[in-house]
Amino acid sequence: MEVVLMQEGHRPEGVSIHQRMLEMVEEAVLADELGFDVYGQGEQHFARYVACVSTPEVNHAYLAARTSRIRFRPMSSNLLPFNHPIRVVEQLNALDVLSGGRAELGMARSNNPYTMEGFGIQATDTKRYRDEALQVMGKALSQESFEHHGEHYDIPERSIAPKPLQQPHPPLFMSATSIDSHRDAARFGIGVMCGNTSAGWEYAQECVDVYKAGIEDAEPVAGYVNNCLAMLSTAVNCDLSRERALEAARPVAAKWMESIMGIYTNLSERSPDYAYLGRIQLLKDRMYDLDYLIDCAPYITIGTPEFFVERGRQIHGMGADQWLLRLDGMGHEENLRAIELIGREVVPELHRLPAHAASTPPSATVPGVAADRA
Amino acid sequence: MRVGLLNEGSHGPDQTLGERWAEVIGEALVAEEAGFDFWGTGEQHFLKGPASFSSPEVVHGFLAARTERMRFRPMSVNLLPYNHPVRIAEQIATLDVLSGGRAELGGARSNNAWTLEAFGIDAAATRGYRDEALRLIAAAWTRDPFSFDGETWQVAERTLVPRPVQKPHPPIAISATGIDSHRDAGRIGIGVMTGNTSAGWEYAQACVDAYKQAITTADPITGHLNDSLGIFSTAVCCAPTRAQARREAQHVAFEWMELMVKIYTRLSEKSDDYAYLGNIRKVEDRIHDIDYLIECSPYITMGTPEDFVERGRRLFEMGADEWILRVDGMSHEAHVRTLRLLGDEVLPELQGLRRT
Repeated sequence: MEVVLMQEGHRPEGVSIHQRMLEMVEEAVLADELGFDVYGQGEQHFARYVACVSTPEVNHAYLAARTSRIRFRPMSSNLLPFNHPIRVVEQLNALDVLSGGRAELGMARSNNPYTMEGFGIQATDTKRYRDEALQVMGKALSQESFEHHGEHYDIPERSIAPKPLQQPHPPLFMSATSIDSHRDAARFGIGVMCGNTSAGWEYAQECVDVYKAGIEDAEPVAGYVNNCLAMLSTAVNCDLSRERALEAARPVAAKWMESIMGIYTNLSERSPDYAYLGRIQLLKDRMYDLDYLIDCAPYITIGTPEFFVERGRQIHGMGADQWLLRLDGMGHEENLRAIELIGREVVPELHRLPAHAASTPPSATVPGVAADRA
Repeated sequence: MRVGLLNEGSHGPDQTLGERWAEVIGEALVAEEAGFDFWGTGEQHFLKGPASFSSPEVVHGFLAARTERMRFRPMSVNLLPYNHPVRIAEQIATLDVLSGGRAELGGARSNNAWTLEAFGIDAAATRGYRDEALRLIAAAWTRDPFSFDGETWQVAERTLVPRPVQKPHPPIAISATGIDSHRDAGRIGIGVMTGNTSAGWEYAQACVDAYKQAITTADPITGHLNDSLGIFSTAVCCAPTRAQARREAQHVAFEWMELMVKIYTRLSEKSDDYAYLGNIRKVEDRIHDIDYLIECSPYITMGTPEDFVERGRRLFEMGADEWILRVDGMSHEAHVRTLRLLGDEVLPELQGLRRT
């Protein structure tokens, strides 16, 4: 099983956005050295609390020049009208060439009403935008020349430039929190990042099962079926002492739960398409009860290296191919320490677990720019 | 006077894109060592051959991590609906943070019909998009919070995240080939990059004069004036002898001019707003006469270090604050030698030029 480090630029009190951005460079470089498989930052706009990265396409390019092995996956590029799908593919391919075939793409329709309102986007329209953008990108990535005539995009015959190094193309993923979105990802034949399982272990298993069943009959939007399933944990902290781990992660978990409680409740009222997010209310009385949150689902994960190995095995046993750890917001020194501990004690253990995925991962057939530093 | 470089990753069929990009990265690192003030690549879509970069935001992000001094200016971000101005403002601000304040914005309305058609954009509307995008980027960078209610873009009251490091904000310039665009840039108090001056020295001077005159009564779009004027030269090659420079770069000049005749003629017929590009036809008969091309304007520039110093001085006297050199399309060895020769013998002379 692969291990993925996710960060969004969550800041403890007193840390500036500029400082946090530079700290993350060191944290990502450490993750590369320690053998994490993938690193990814989010795309959050006008963010007020738990994020400060709005352009993973720029941050990852910078990081690609400072690393030699780790892959990069935006989590997630917003497939909404303020990102033209052609531009997203161009950025992906450029990073692929510069990084020597280490680029991936995570995508989402956004679950943040503050972003949607900021850009004047209706919550009822996001699925349609996402689906059409995916079609455009799938064609641009898998056909030598393509055209598209749809509701939002009308593109005459063109050939995308540059082409990626990885053939047939870099792996594509979609963030999903609902059962429906897991089914959609499977139908599109792209990997899925199971985003919010706070509803419990059974809900998490249901997401996995729906995806696994659906992927058998995928009609891939792009050039091949990527059947990789990644499971997200957040407020992640690892320490030799469980008590210390809890103490350092407590403010992050609190801020995170408050943040999603606010945005999910808001969004669930805006469109039937997001109604399922209203379930977050069930956690309202227990959102500061860390023991409960850690136990009830794979979502909040804080503990010792042994606990991480055990939970990793459990998630792998459920069918996950990757474990996505959002380790962010505790303060730079604490973040580095936790990354180091997970990298040394947990990642090697989880790497022993065999991959479920049977799809052929893409390979770089020609040397790229960063190959000299590998 | 500042000297900057444009590299668009031009390459022939004998080379893979990955090979050429590896060279471009190497050439940018040589440029940093040689002391160039800024470096940029372009944003060209669906192209092969003469230009292979479509995402300068990614390329500059990569290079910022391997350099310490040189500044980065995309030449030019297409200020059209497929690039949301908030995303542009975020990208440049992020690069500014990561690079320690070395990010700039070069923008343009595009002069490429192949691009405009692909994205379904009416050639008559590009000036309006450009001007609105610039106003939105200016608002996002200088006001906290900002909001925007334009014809094409509306943004509710928000704070841009991240905000740039440079105060008051990263410099903004636009590419301009028409006299009108020079006047537009001057009026809104942003820098200008004079693009195609192949119509001659007088035309180049007319562009400079239109900008300089407009800037005296500028109403700066961001509240802060940038009155910097750069002039582009292309097919640039510097060698110990003129004969060698011509041998290495002559074909670049010819291919470039053929391309310009093609795309400018096409676009000049699409909208009155681009009619001035039809001027290119005046030189159509002589685009394979290298002596003429070098002499007739600052556009095609190749020669010895002395030739470069002399031409740089002339541009400075015309009113240019920057000289932007497109060193691309030759062999990697010729690019590197050109950059080193310019760094050793030309930059020290030109960077010492100051307005009194």
